[in-house]
Amino acid sequence: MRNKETYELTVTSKLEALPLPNLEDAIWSRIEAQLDIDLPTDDGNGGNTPTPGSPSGSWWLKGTGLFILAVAIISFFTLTKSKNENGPAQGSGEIIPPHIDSIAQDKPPPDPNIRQTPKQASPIITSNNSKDPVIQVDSNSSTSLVPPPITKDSLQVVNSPPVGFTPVKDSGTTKKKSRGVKGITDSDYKIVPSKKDSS
Amino acid sequence: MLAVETDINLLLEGCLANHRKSQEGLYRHFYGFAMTIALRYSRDEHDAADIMSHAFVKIFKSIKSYDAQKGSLHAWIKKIIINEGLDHIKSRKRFSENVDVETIEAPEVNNAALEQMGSEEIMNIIKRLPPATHAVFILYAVEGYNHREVSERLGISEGTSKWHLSEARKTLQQQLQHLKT
Repeated sequence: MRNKETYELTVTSKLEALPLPNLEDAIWSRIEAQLDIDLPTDDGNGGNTPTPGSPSGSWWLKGTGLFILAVAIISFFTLTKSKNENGPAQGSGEIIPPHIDSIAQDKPPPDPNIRQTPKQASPIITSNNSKDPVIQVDSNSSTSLVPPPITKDSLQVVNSPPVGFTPVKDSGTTKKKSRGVKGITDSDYKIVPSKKDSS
Repeated sequence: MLAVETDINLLLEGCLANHRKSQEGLYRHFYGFAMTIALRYSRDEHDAADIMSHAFVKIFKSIKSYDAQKGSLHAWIKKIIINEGLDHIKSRKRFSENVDVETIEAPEVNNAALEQMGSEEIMNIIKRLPPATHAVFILYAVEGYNHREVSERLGISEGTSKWHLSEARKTLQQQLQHLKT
């Protein structure tokens, strides 16, 4: 600091006499808003003592919280009750896996006339002990299958020379309702060449 | 006087505990003192309001760092208001500008004419000064800092500080002559 000149003292005294703008409340509102962000008070209401029925009190916050809690509890019990009514009886929330054997026993025995193959989109060539390889086409598959032209060289089946093909439509794993005349089974529709190829 | 100090101490304790009512009380107690300082670094009331709000938020956030053994609360608050005012001036365009420190003059200011002027007339002349000249003039002529202190606060050389003061005095004298005629 230093000693001021005369004109500096005059300027200082004049500036200290400047009329103050009436912004005291407006500035405090800005300060308070910033403090609520930077330095929030513990009670959340700016340190004021809450009065009953006062709009600045936190009663409505507590009420909203209690309402949300009540709705959550009611929803939980409603969902739990509906689950117990619809689903199998379960003790203390323990999940019991279904018994596979019992399900298998409940299932009707497969029809011996129905050839069961695993579901797959590609045709399967089987050549068990029979002489004729059989192409099975999955009827559930949406892909239309056209068997490729088969030549001698293309088939690598040992002990069963490729004589002919008998396409058999797979009826699927589920049992279909029988149609038509009784006594005629799917095997009756199996086309078997009457003669062997001379070549 | 003792009662006022007791009140301020109570307000300080409340501010340390982050009580809004105490913070509001401290702000309202120092409003006139702080606003007088803020106006010196402002071009208008809105500038002053910005300086005040930013400064008081800093005051309440750093109230724990205030040490009564090192100085009075007035001095501590004044320091924060001045720093905020300087930051505000620095944020204005063309704060740093090239100056010709080789041609520093020391024009005389007619004090008799100055005394006849009103506060707002003098403030109108000061706030029309370029930002850096404004800051140097207030720090030097009103706050009483020397050129070394001014240069440190503004991050400029002492020669630049002297040049800005010379420019401010020249402008002030020109305005005084203009009003006289």
